[in-house]
Amino acid sequence: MHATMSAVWNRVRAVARVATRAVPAVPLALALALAFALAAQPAQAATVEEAQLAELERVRAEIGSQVQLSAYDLVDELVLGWLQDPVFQAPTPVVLAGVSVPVGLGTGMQALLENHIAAVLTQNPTTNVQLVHCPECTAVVVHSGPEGTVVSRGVDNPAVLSRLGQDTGRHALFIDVEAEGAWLVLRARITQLTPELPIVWSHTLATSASTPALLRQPTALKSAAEAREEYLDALHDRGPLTIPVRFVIRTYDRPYTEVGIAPPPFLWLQTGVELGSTDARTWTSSLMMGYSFIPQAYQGVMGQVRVSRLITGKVRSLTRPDLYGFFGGAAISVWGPATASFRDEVLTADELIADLEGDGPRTTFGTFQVGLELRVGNRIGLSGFLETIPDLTYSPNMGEYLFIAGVSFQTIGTEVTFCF
Amino acid sequence: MAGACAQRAAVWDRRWRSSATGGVVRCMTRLSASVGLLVGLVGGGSGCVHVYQPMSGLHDPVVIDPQQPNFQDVRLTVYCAPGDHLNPEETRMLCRRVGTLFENQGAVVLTYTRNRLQVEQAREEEEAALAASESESEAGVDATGVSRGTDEAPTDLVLELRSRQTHAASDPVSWVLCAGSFTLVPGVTESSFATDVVIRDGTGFLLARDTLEGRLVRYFGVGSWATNRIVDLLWREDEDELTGDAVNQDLSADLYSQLSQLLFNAKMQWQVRQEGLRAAGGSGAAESASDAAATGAATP
Amino acid sequence: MIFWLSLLILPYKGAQDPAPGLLRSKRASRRLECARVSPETGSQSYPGQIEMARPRGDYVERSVMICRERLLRPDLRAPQDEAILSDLDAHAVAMASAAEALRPDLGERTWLVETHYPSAQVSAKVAFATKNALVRQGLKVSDRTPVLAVGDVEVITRMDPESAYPVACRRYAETGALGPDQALLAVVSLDPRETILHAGLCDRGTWSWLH
Repeated sequence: MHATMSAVWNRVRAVARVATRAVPAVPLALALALAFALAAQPAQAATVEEAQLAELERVRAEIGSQVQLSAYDLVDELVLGWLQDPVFQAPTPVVLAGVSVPVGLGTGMQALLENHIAAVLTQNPTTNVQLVHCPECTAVVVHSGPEGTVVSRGVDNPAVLSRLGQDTGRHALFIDVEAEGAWLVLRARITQLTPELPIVWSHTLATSASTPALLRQPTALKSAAEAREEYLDALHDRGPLTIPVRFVIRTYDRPYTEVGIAPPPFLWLQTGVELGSTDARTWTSSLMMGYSFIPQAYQGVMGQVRVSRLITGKVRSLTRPDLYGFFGGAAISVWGPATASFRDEVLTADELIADLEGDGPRTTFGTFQVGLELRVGNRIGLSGFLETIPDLTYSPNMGEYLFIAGVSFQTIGTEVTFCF
Repeated sequence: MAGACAQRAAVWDRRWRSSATGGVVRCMTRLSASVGLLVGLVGGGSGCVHVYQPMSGLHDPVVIDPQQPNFQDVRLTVYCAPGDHLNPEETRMLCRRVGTLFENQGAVVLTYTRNRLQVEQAREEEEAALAASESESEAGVDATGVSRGTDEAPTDLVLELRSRQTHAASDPVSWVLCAGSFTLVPGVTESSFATDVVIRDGTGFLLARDTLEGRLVRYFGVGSWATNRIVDLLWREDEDELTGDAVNQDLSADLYSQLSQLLFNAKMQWQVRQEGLRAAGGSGAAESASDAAATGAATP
Repeated sequence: MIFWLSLLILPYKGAQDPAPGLLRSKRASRRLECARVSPETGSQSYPGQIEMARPRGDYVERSVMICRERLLRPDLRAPQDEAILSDLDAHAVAMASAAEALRPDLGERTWLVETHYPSAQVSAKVAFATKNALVRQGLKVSDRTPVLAVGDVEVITRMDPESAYPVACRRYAETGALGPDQALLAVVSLDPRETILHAGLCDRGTWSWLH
């Protein structure tokens, strides 16, 4: 299905594009492959079929819905400007004479935009712009007189409007939204409906496609500058440094041999510091110290470093969970009766007796880990990881959950993190 | 059960092979293989994928069809100035091809591989020398870098091209990873360039100016090359292919389309300016035409 | 280990690069408008994502490539419309500036705007933008459109453009459609192959090209 759509698109492109394909004569160095050939084959014209037109319409609707929020933002910004610096000193009737949307995006968006303008203006009466209904203003009127017959819209011919019984001196609001490259531009002007049709006010606002919609409340409008300030405050509220407290459970795979004894699951409490490379926290690194203690069984200490990379997007989200991928390493030292299994040999009865009589088993080893972490609002995290212990790769006391490309992962761990 | 046994057998087999002796042998084998691969790639010149990305100006919408005679009888002079990005040989080649591009569209083209001021200065010196010796110069002498054309008529349009490198970088991390992964991860080198286009009329009046910026990225490594080659063969449409000569074709298509469009826009500006100058000279014709229109308006 | 690190990092390095590659098609790459800027400039546009240089420097020279995606796919509109609309603000400002700079003596006039472009929809957009640009220049602008009688139009449309505009201008003045205290800025596309617009001025029956 995807391939079919792609093929349709390509045919559509062939129709629309006037492109050239030059045949290179001499391949040059990478530094500058500027000088090449000329012969350009004109694009072959093809017939636009119904399916292609339908596909174009689908794409138009898709883009229309994407730019709609940005257009709403621009309207909000416009109305906010009127709130702060009203065009009229007293409430003034204004006819919404024309709303035009980007060429190529159809009329559906136009209706939505008109509704939004009316809604925002109604909820902000202190703008002094009172929208009024005037069907004669937007309709096409034909007027015949001694000077000739003139066909025009009512707003373009105020003299006719006055003869139709409408008050002169009203104002007409025109709004145009256009996609100009990467920018969505809103232009607005207010014209006085007198015979000379003077433009009494005009304004142009632009936003970028890469700027997320501000989604402002209609009753508490904020300027783009204020919204940006809020965004920065939200980003900066925690600073680049956080202090995580993490509860970890590590489980070790059962050995393949029946003579081996697997270590018990280990419960760890870790804390340390986590540093984000930027406020966006696209990359973070952490240094954690951990302690584990189960009476009569084992104790342990550990140091761990980890580097994480945000996978879902380029900036951590303020509203939805973020997924990080991470890798890191740890040095773990454990002791106690239950840690005898962290040896690269089969446990014998003599060894177990010797452990009981002496200081008990104590082992220190290094590990490497990879995993995923789901972080909510940079406050709560849930993660899972696979860990390899290179020293114990051939231990008969431990199996492996996963063996991939020469690396045995003997440990699976889960973590819950609280960040302060 | 049988599957589990087979898996365990495989595990033990791997463990045996990764014993100390086996590790050394394997390490040596990998090292020699990677060195051989690197030498092969460097020596053969393959294993590189060159990618072109238009940054600004080069992928602006183009309306003109460079196959059509868009510049019929326009006398055009092209100056291609060598700089840090193009050596003289590349400059000459660029100038020759740009000249051919516009000749194909009907223009009478004169090309110089120096910048305009240098050429004008050289011409003045040459004329002074000629006046002093009172001898005639031979037609077609390449004293000022003229590479084609002998038309002595004043030029209509002057196109100046200058290309410069705006940025160059080699990602050291990628090269470490490239070596560490036996070139599976590509080593990345990139450079950005800007081509300044200035178009004037014969009197030196500025008609159009633009800067076309692009970026060339080179991915070195068998992983990148092989993957892109396979994807090109099996999946990508012709126009989306990255390997082979695609980089040259894409860059050529963009550059020549934009140059044609810019020159056409400049030609229209020039014609409007000529019209304005003519109108300023005399407006009698407009008055008589206006009388005709007035008569037409009076007709019922 | 480096091998594994390489494979781990590979997807992230590729995903960030705006150049065409395994994760980005040429078509997607061509929808981006890119510029290389300093980290300071970049952090103004993308706070949080791009970090400014430290006061004592970063020990390496950093630059940032910022890419903005074009809103519409290039094949949704006719190429000439796309070219004009992509730079609409620049075109409008250029024409308003030309009018204001080349004819400062007309500063007190009321300006009317007329557009001659094949597409009515684009034509309206160009007129809108030009009027706003003129207002921004501090000029008085009217929404009125001067009209001619049918006979005038019939004659003028049969003329070549070179003489049609001066004649139309003269008729505007003669019929009173354009008063002596008004000036008409005509925005014209002369050839369907060009991606620029020209500006002409009609002042008291005299036509001149401004841009």
